[in-house]
Amino acid sequence: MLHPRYFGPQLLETVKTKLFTEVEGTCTGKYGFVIAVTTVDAIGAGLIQPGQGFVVYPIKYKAIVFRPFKGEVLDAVVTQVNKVGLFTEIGPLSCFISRHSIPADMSFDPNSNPPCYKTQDEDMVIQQDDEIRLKIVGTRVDASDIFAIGTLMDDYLGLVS
Amino acid sequence: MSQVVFKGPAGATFQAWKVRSGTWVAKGQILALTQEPVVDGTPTMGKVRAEQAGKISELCVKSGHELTIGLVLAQLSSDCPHATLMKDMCADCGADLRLLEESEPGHAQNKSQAAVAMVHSIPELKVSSKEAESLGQEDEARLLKHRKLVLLVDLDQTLIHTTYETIPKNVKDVYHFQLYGPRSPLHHTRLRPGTQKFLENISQLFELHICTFGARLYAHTIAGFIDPKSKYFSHRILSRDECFDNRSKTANLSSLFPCGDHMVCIIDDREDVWNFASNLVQVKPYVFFKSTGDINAPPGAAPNPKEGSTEAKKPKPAAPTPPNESEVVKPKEDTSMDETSSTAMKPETKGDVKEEGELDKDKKDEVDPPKEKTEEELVEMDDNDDYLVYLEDILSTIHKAYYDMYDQRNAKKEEQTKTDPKGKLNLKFVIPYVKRKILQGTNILFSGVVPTHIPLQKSKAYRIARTLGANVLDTVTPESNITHLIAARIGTAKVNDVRKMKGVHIVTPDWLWCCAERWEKVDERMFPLNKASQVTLKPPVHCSGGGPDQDLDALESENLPEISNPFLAMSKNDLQGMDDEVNDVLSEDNDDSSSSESEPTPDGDDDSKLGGEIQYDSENEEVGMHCDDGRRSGKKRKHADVDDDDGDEGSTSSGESDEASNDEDELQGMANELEKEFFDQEED
Repeated sequence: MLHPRYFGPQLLETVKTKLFTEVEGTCTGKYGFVIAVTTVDAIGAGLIQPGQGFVVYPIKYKAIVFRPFKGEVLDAVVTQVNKVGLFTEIGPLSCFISRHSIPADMSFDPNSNPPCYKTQDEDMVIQQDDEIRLKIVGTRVDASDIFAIGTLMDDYLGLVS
Repeated sequence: MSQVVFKGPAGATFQAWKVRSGTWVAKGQILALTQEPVVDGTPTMGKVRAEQAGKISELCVKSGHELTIGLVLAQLSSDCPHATLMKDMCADCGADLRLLEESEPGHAQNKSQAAVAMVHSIPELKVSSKEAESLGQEDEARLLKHRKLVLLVDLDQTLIHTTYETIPKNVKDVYHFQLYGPRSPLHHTRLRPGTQKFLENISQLFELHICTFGARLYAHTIAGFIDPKSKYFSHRILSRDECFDNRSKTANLSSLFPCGDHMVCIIDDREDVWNFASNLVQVKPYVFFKSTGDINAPPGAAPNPKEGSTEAKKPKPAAPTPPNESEVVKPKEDTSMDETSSTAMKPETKGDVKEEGELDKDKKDEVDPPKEKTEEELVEMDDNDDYLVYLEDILSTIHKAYYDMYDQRNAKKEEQTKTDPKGKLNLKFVIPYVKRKILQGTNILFSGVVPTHIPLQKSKAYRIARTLGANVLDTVTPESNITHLIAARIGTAKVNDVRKMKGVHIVTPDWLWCCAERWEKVDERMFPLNKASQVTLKPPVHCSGGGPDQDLDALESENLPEISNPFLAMSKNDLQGMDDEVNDVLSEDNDDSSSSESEPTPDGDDDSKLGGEIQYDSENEEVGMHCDDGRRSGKKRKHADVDDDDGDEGSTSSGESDEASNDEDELQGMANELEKEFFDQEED
């Protein structure tokens, strides 16, 4: 959708910048999070909207996307720790780990500040802002957002140090 | 239901579980580690893997167990109960319940009972009631272990006061922030004095939760101010976005505390949002910005629809915005104001909608009231400064009482070695118990406090006295052993009677309000009844006097606009005026008239009263001097006049007339009450 005021020698440049600003950082259910547009393959012929003067361009482009899948192992940053589980962020994707999906030897300690999950002998402590490796066990894909459920119950998952 | 069976090699010993009961395991997931028999001199580790997906329901062996082939290690149930749901996805097995629902309608609902939002800030996260209960039990055990209780803290008007009004940037200890981008209204928040210290001390005894009707962003921003290291509240912040019911906070309690709220104590400035729960400690509302009430007050929050409307208007009477008068008076005060007082600034003068001529007339009448009010503002600042100290005392007393009882009960239990299934000590009983101890052993007699047309047992004052544990008498008898006489004015028959007795404290109703506010027996000498004593007839709104059985009367008295701030009671002058009027009309020469007239009244006020009286008398003459009804109606008209003036002066927005009529009702009530009192005396 381009306003007629941009019609001029810089037209295609404007189309590209508009593409970048409109697309990067968004999330679609089909492709996941669009991280960055790498190449613009083709800008088709613009179609002027009747009665408006706005122009719609069909654009083919390649972009780096982030689409989480079930079973994928990812590194995440812990954002919140509570008695029900851990909330983490994997870049733009937020992910929840239930307390049942946290290894049995780790238990919730609400009295420490900040609250954390830790082993009995405290050699492994997961608290806010820690980096953990998790496996995605389920995703909820909405029109403009993706949410994931993760687990720490597998080999080599847990605190990344 | 299937079983995890050990398949060899024989002679291995069990080492450790990698899962625990209740865990959802995928096929092939490692369940446990075993120590296999030493073959080549090097010990090897064996692994037990799940042969199918499912949920571990029971672990049958422990570490060090000798394993034989065919031994059942664990019970595995293949169905996940979906006990923890996040956005309709099972957080244990990752199944999407919406997809399940599509494929088999009714399936998801049947399978998952997850309906309890356990975490304050994430309403999407739900756990089943069973799960919630086990989590709740863990919490409870932890609280008991650390000898803590849960305290739900309200923000607006309890710990902070926030306004949208334009406030100068240079005010000390006021935070300015915008919530929704640069174009949103600027908020100004002032913390109640002593908040930091209060939280610091009280967090030793209580687990603190924020429970507010503010939006989530607002709540979290405020939490950032009062608790920058998030060590008091952490993530325990419940805001409007997470509230199930936009009128009451009670609904959330059961989900936050699935094991019952028997260890929950609440501090809030309003008790209606908690449905008058007995574990609520109602605090004196904190008002710093005069013209603003609770910006996050729930809409129509009371069971009584009337309160909703008054609630919205509450700020206005509490904040008389004198348009021009403030400038007239202010210079005088500034000289006497100390630093704190200058921070207690005037609300922004709103647009003056009054016409000039009218204004001049009003000005004469009302030059003085604003001055008085700003002086009271100072007093109030001081009061606010120490209220949290009292609150801290109240809460630590409650805490101590709870754990004293808890210990006693435990000791008893050990003796009897009998477990009581209902052995949970409930704060809902402890708090009223603590409250009842405050004035225990005092015998109180009211005089001129309770309107004669209201039965003593139904009056708010009576209820307050009873909840504080006092014994309320209704007549003076020598054997009744009166300890306190609470009288609104001197010269009533009861006062005269009691004067003759020894050892009886004669105090103003403010003594009782103060006791109710601070939860302690306040020194009676601070509230002597004499000619100059200021009397607040109506209890302040924060003196909670009743339970759910409160009738309309009590609710109405709570609604009175002026009591959102007892010191600003604008009807005080009116009351005084009424007193005088009644005296004049009846032309009596008893002590009352002298007492009330001898009260130092400001000049301007006198003028207004004079005007009022003339008008009043003439009206009465029309109607007939000795006709009771006529007098009352005349009075009513007069009060309506007074109110109109006040309304013009104090508010510029709509709803003025409602307010005036509201006040009218209230004043009418007071007038009736005074009148009746007088007739009683005459009869005496």
